[in-house]
Amino acid sequence: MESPATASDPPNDPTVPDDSLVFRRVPPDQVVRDATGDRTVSTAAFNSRGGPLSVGLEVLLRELRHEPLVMLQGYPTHGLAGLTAARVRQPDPEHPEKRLGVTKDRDPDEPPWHGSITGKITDSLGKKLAAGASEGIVVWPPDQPDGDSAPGRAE
Amino acid sequence: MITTTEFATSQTQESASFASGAFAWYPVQSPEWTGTSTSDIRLFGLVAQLDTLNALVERLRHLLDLPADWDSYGAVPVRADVVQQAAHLIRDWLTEGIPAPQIVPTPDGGVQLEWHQPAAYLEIHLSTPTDLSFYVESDGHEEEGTLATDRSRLASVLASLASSRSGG
Repeated sequence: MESPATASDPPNDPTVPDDSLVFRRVPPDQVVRDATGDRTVSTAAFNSRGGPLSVGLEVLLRELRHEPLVMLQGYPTHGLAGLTAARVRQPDPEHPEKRLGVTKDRDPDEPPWHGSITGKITDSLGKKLAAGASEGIVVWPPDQPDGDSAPGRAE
Repeated sequence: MITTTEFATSQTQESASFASGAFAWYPVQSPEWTGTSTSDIRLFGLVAQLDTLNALVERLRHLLDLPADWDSYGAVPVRADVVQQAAHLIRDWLTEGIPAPQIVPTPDGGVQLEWHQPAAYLEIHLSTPTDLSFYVESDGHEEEGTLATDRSRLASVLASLASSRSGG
């Protein structure tokens, strides 16, 4: 059940449907190996430096009749991950006051599909975003080193 | 005759298996089985450590080569003083038996050290040489802290990583 909005909630745009995807490019240096040796997106990919986190919105990409992979044009070494807006908006279960929003961001300096994840991305919320991104990966960055050569992988 | 490289590789693989608990009964290859002496084993173990250290140094060097906007979202280059501090910390931790972390750049010019283990997840973020924060997930619990206020807790988490590596 959705929690009621409060005055302290981050900006959130309800015209971005919960079941629509939010995309984020993943640079190769922010892919790590989890405890089972599988590739996973590092939480560092969701370090917003205190401000909103840039994303691409499926709802806008559809309006523009673009495929999500258009976000990788000009970034051949990057991967692309997508997670639902609902997952982004899901509050931290232990701290329901810690929650994030999704907004459209029609900035002329940004691509027309640009949006933002708003609110403070705590370590805990960043971990959940990274987990969602890893599950919803569209394409991993190409030319990833194999597991044995990745530093720290041996441990 | 097993080569040094092969042995170092097997040690590394054993460490990985050992950490997961899959081969807890088989932590060290017995000298009797290989025809090598105990001193050889120590030497080979040192070579394996050096290989790990070399890989970490290469990784840190690589991070220093990242240009501005390496993440396509306006990241700043990784700070040399942060890399130097990370190298010092990792060197000290390795000598204490703490497993090598995975090292990830952060968009603020910092680095993040990550340990993904079956029993625990730990990340340490260095945004400046003196600004260190950490996040740990273990036994279904989450904790966030800073070196300034939670030094003993971080030491405890790192010790548990070393303990899980050695089977303690």
